[in-house]
Amino acid sequence: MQLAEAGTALDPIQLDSVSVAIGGNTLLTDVDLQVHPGEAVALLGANGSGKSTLIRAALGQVPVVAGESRLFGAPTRENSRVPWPRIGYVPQRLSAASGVPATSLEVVETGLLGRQRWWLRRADRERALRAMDQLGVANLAHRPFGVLSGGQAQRVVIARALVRDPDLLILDEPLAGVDLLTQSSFAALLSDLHDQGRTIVMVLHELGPFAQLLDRAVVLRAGRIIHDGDLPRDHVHPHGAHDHLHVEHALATEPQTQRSLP
Amino acid sequence: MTDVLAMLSTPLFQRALLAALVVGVSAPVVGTFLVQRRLSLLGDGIGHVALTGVALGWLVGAATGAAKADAFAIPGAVVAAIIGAVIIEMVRSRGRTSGDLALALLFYGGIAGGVVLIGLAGGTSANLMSYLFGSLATVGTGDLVATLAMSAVILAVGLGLRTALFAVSQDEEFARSTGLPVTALNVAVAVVAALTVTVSMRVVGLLLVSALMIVPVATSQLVARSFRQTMTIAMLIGGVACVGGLLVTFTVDLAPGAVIVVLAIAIYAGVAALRPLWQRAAAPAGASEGGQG
Repeated sequence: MQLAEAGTALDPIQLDSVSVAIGGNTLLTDVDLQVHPGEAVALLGANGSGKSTLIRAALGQVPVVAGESRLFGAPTRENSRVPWPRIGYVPQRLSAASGVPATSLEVVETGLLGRQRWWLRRADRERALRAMDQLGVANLAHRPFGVLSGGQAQRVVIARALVRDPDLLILDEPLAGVDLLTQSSFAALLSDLHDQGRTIVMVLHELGPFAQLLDRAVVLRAGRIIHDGDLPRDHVHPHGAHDHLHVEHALATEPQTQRSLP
Repeated sequence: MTDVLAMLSTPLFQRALLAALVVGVSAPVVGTFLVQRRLSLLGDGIGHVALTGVALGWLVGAATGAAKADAFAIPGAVVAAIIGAVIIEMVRSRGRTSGDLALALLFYGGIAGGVVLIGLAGGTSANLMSYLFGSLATVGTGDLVATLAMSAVILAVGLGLRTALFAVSQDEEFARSTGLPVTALNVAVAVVAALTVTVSMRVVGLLLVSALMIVPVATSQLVARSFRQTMTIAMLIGGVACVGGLLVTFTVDLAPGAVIVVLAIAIYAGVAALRPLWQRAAAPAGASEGGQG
């Protein structure tokens, strides 16, 4: 194992020949991936290509049937060894629209919990509000989360990940349901976080406003990595004010799953 | 009037009142988490399984020649309810069978198993009636102690771990990524739900247990804005409904369990009817509510 390469920081994400199967369906096959400290990486591919599964495998949330996934050098099989406070995750679905009302602040505060941290402390409310302020949603702190617009809810959920002050930020389709203006403000925010030395891994359908920020693209197709390296720069469609890099057209087109993009 | 006062001072009534109050306040605590996880019917599922546990307790009582036929009924209910709740949780978290189907199986299996077992124990289904519909009027000192102890556990877990349980119920995937012991917390909710069912069995009966857990929450979320507020208001409504319902049955001869639930639903209806007025009054202060996102 490359665990102890002298002088080098541990890779935030490391997947060694990882295969994932759920209910007999193989979702990932023999995936190798190293994300180095400070990198900004896009995971691209058509729907069903395994992008989100890869993220969940990296986080130890799906059954890895072969290979090993590590976070900061710790195998995710051994939950207690993983430095969870260093990880900020923004899941794909906004599953928070449950029956019981909860304020955005309550949602963000849950980002401060951890393996041995089941309670909130006195200063936590301030911290949560600061994270919300960073995303421009401090004014929504006492609004029920369920009534927020897509863009507002996404900001709240990002604040929930950022309140942990993570070294590794993982975002699964952060642009879903977010308007163009908000998209570019996300890009600016993530650029700042990247400049601070944080590692960023994003599942994306299109590079959109993130093209400037990203260092590297990993493209999946049918559960395998088919490209790992430069961003796909061809097929640039200058729609409107910003560049759309249509990755699905460039590299990972699976005709039946093409989406109409704005 | 003096009759009523005399009744109020009897130990029987005081025990019933205390049991009703404690159960009314603690059931909605667990109900809040269940509604949040969209498992509103979990209590019903557990309740049906608990009936099998009651019958199993009778069977054990009969086999061991216990002094009272139902000596093991409550412990049986507790054990069966916990096992049932943990099974439901496992099925839910694996996601193999839909939770819906798993609940359906428990409903039928629980009732049928209960009736069959009570027959084997030499009893009749009539023996199950007090468990199905509650028997607040016959709460003994031992029952009261058990009720208070179980309620203390429910409140300690539900209130003490509120933030962590909220996190897990609200977004399990995120909660896992924070390092929270999600599985353990899910099991804690299931076990506490099982305790709530058995403790409420005495007050409203197994068939209506879930109402006591869910209806106050349904009412509360009509007016609350935060999770904490939802839980607090629900506890208040649960306490009022239970005590109020009990008081009614001491003046009118009706089954307390049913009256309590009818009262809880009446409170729901009242709040739902008044809600538009309340919202109109609150609206000018903040921005418009907007559509469901």
